[in-house]
Amino acid sequence: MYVCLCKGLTEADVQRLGRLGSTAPEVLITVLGLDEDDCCGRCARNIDRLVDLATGQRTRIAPKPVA
Amino acid sequence: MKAKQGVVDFLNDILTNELTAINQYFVQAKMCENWGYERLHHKLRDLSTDEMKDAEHLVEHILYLEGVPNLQRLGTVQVGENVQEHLQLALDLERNQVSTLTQAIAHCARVEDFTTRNILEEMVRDEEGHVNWVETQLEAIKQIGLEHYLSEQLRD
Ligand SMILES: [Fe+2]
Ligand SMILES: [Fe+2]
Repeated sequence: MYVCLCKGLTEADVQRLGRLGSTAPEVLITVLGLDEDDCCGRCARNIDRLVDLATGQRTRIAPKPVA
Repeated sequence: MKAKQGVVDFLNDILTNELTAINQYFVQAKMCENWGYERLHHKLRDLSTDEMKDAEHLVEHILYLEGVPNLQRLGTVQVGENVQEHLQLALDLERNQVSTLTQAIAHCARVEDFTTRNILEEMVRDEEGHVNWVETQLEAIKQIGLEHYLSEQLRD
């Protein structure tokens, strides 16, 4: 799913950054640009979910597929 | 008519969910249209319109209760990257709305606002219908497989 519609970022984008070592909340916010003016601000408030994705604590935000 | 304690706050929470749902279904509908899934496009667009009508009733009722309808606030619009994710996220949205409505109905009973309670009881029946529809889609995908399901969505 999209984790930030303002920037068009998906779960995969966050996971890629995580693999490159960006896992801290402040780092993710800066690198993803969630603190910039063209982001609504809500995306940064959901940062815990993004940290979990980046660290591999969870593999997706969207609920598990049924199949 | 002056509102009983806490009723307008509940109505505004429900309104926020409806406004979120309008946008979420609308963008999901348009993405499905873009992928060629005409049937889902129309269904999701109709759901968006349904939620718009709910929002209209809520705004009218909040004004009747001499409250201020808050159209500024919006929840997280959850958008998937494919049909299955869209449906999962729609289920999330609807279950959340049913739970808010259930709490609001209980509150209305406590403060004895039976007019609002009736409106919300009608609304929760609609939302349960939405939950049902989404669950049926996900169950169909489970049973006939995603590819079959999707090929059924190409034509209306
Ligand atoms: Fe609704
Ligand atoms: Fe709904």
